[in-house]
Amino acid sequence: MLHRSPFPFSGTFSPISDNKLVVPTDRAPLEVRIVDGVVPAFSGRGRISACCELGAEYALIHIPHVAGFQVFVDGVVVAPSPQVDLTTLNHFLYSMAFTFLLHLRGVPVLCASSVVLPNGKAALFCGISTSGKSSVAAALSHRGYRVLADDWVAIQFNHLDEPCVLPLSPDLQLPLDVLTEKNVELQRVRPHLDKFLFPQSSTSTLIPIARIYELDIDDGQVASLSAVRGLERIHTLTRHAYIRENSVTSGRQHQQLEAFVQLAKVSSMHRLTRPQTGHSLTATLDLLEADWA
Amino acid sequence: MSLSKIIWLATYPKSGTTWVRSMLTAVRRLDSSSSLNINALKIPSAANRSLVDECLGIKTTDLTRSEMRAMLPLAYRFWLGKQNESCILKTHDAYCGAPSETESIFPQDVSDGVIHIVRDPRDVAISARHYFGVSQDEAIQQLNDPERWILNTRQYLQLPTFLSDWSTHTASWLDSPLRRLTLRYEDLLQAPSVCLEQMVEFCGWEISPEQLAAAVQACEFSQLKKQEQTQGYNAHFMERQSPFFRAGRAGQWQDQLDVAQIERIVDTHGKVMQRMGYSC
Repeated sequence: MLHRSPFPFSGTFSPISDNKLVVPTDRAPLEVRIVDGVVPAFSGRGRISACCELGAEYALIHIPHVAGFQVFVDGVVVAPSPQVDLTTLNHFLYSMAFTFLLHLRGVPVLCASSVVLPNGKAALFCGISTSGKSSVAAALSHRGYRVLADDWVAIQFNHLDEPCVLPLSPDLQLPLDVLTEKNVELQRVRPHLDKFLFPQSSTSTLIPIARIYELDIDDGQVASLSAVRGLERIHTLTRHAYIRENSVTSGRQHQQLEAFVQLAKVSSMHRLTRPQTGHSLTATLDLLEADWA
Repeated sequence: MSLSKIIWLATYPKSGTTWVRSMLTAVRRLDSSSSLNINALKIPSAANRSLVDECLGIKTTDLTRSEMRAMLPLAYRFWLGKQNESCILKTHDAYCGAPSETESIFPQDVSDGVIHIVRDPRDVAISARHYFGVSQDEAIQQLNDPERWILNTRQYLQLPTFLSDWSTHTASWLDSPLRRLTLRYEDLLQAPSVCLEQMVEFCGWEISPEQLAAAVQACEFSQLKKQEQTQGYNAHFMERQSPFFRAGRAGQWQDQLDVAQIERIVDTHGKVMQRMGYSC
């Protein structure tokens, strides 16, 4: 008999806490219905990557040996693979299915981490996988900055129409060698994966975004900051959109672009370039703090 | 949808990969008047994490190593579908894959063939010592290690790569079912134009003799070394004790390895070395 994980497939969903799905309290707008069911194979249309398809009103995600997810605007159908564990399922539900759901709801999502600046506004650190989003956020957390998000940031506009960080789970996910806290008991993001959850305290406040940094790595000797200007600001945000659509038919692409234009208007934007070798984060953080002073 | 398939550029590390990538990039440049940029070569690495992440739509840092390896063929199929011209991916992986893996990460249905570059392992050992910043004995031990992986290179920018030992690596490509052009690094040094012409023909490209000559000239070792000195080379991830483009010569082992070190290499790899025409 195949093992089935005891995943609570009915109910509402909010950011994961203690590896359990919890009913949202102050985050009601994010309620999501999750059901155990059959997820169809890819249709062959709207394929945006090897594992993801995006249609006008749905997204399909198939992760071999983990699960299939069919995402709609109001919920997610999950078809877990027979031997997948609950933590793994939760992880991909949160890190992938949930971002597609936000995208279907017209909420722009950026590949970024975020912290609260001394002036109470938020800074975003955008970058490709392994560019150091989590490392920078972790190092700033160590210096006392509050982390708002890791890996991806959903943008929501407040009553003043300011683009803000939608407060979700801010827990950092890091390999051991970049953690600054060596003595804390850490939980693995997934069993057998050398990536650990570094818990952060959460907030329910929408925090306006004031600064955006694109993380880059080069062959230089020192960290440097350079301003991103003009249309390149929009290109930078588009480049780091969590989901880049192939088709303009859904109208979401236009909606996302509008949000990015607004974000580019009200934020200062810099490229933060770090050397790829022999580099400590200290110099980068000093540079950032000087920029914020 | 692309009609062409992937040509793999397969090498054991420190066997002239960057030089060949430079030549294959230079030979297709329309404007040969500007200098070739070694930091913008057109042949990406099959182990480039950001390329694979984008193709999969999943962060490979969220996958276990075995999951990631099993999904690589999906990534390469998707990547191929996005290309509009014949495409080459560089790889240091052994064709055979790690012992626990049942399928090769190089799917035959998307593979057009392999350009396989081999270098005398005695010289590989010297180059590896400088590049990896290890002692000569350690470099030889790595060369002889059938379980050898390259892990977490360049701050996780590259995916774990399974090398195995030099003989297993070399034989795995020699015996692969793919259409293959195997060239020796030493022959490339002796006759770069002839070797480049063979590679161009293997890829099915139409290149004029003038373009070919210009590419060879643009990629002379001294040119590449000079560029590294002035601009740096971004794939050189190890501590900068030694430049990436260091000597570019064959036969250095005769002066730099002691008898015991040569024996350790020849005892382990003699059979495949002979197969490749290296005297030992």
